[in-house]
Amino acid sequence: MTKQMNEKELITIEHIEQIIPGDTDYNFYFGPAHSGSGNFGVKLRIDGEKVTSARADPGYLHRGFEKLMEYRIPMQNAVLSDRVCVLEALNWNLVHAEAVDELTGVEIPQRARYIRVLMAEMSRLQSHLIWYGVMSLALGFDTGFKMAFGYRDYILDIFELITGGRVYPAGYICPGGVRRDLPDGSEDKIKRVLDQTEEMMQKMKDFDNIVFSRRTKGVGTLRTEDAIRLGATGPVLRACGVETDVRKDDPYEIYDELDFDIPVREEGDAYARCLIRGREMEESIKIIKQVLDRIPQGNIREPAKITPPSRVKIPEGEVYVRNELARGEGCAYMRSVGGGEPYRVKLRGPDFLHMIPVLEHLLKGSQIADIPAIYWSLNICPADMDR
Amino acid sequence: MSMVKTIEVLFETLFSKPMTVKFPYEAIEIPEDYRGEHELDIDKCVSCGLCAEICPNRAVEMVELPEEYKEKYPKTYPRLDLRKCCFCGLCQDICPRKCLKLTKNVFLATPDPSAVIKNPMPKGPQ
Amino acid sequence: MAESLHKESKVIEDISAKFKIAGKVQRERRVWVTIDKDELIALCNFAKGLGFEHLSAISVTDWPEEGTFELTYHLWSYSERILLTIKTKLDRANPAVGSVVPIWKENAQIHERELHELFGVEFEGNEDLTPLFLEDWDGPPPFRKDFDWKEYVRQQYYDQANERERAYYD
Ligand code: SF4
Ligand code: SF4
Repeated sequence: MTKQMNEKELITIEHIEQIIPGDTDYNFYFGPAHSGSGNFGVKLRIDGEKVTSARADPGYLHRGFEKLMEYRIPMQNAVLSDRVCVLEALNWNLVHAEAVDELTGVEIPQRARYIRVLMAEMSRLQSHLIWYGVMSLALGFDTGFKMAFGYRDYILDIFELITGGRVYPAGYICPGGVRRDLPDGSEDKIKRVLDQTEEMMQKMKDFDNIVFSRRTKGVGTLRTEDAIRLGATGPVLRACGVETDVRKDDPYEIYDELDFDIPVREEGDAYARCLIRGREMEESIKIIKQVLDRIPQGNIREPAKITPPSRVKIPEGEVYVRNELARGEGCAYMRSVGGGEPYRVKLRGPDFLHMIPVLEHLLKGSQIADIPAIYWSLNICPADMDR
Repeated sequence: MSMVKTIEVLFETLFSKPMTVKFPYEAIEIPEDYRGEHELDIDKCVSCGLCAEICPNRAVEMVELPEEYKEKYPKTYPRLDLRKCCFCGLCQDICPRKCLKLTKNVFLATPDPSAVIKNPMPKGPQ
Repeated sequence: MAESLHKESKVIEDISAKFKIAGKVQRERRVWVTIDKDELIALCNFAKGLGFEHLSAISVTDWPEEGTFELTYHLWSYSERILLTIKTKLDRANPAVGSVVPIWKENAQIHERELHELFGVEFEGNEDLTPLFLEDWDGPPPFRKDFDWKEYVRQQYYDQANERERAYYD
């Protein structure tokens, strides 16, 4: 405090600068235990309102799944794979189940394949609804948040009916097929929920211009070559004008028999990412409808009974499977030496790259007020990054 | 334009039924196959121990029963620790006699720590 | 079948023409090649030139009996739609390998940082290998097969007085 201030004088920027001379540079911690960031932190260096450097600080949710899986048989790992990403449990179930299936080489019954795709797409829908919810919350639009979570609950009701749990399906998509058959009447219930979701999407469109476009247009722009270099995948990459989707490029399950489009936009900003997700939900609904029309009868798991742990053997080999999750590319590398447990499992989640290089890149040079918009436009979830 | 739409939606919501229900007076029905509290039909159990073997969390332990039950149930039977259980339902799926089941009871919160240990003894007076 | 794997065989042909190694086509869109550690960087550069511009993941498998670490680089080509996996072996006693950061930039950087922490592999040329997930960890790299985590947890966290924990430790 260099100068005594007259009480009647208004406090101006000069006064503040006199108190803290020239110091507009400070550290700012976003997370890790912050309701706006998930269990994840970013250390920011801020100059005034501008972010000058950003460094992601992961590890708050590290549970060591890759190591844990080396000590469990595939059926138990399927249960574990739920937890890789809370919001996309069924998709991770599918990644894990596919890796094991490719190693064992069992023929998955057709009905199980259809149910798998059905559940994976429903999971994508609810994941996008959560994203819409938290994105609205981040932009200060509480109504959107409440509505999205409300409509998501209708989808969770379906999960509850089919898998027996709302959020965690407990390895519903398991090696060899799925754990339970669809209960009677579930097709009609799913159709009803799809209608409800469409209703929600109509509302999303109506709200679009008011909040979303004004806060997200031109914010956090990612150029195509940067996106590829930084390892972005999924909707983030598609919003930068790269037409790629694992379901089309590297089809798994029955995706090559289904008819759906890949939405692509050129802008690469947060708004484009939002629009892509909206379009993706439409495509998911399209896929679910096709699956419901074509789903064949038959058994749902091969072998039908769970093998007791002492008799489980995974044939020797190594595989790498890729899946399209709601957030991007999810992969698993699995190596077996012929024992009951896999010898090595590597899980590669989309957010590992979205949350560290991509986020750091986008935050650098942005304004403080844009941080939530950028952060949530990537739709990130620390769970599959930390694993 | 979009403002008009928003107001429209707001009014609609004002007069439509809420998405939530008034718990505990009403509740959303829990489906039959829900994975909740376990139920053991000890008379059917063959003591194979598969449920203890498959449990990913080692929540199942095969134990002998106290003396007064020994005569009728001489072998070992599964005892469950619900605090360790993740309600995956693998024990239900693997049980060859279908005597261990997950019911739709979800009201498991309790202040009494011993209440979460589920002993295999049949309920009621002997 | 042979007809449809044309693309995949072409990749192997291209690589073996330059590097004198054989590869195998596992199935549609999956190609695996194994290479000596010294030629790894050259092959990675070559693969990038072939269009493998997305580094999907890097993984390490630990083989303590053999005394090696096996590195697998999983590369995806957006144009060819093929997943190429490059495998190489390192000496376990001296696990150092050239970094692929100059080729795949930030993407590779973060994968190498993770593996350095979890397996203790040295990536020469990667400037930032600070720990990623673990905080204040001073034990050996925890994902190695010879790290006895059961013993570690027993010593650090086993509460003998708690009857419930017995099932996990005995
Ligand atoms: S439901 Fe799963 S965790 Fe619980 S006792 Fe059964 S097998 Fe174990
Ligand atoms: S699996 Fe079923 S029959 Fe076997 S011990 Fe458990 S409860 Fe009894």
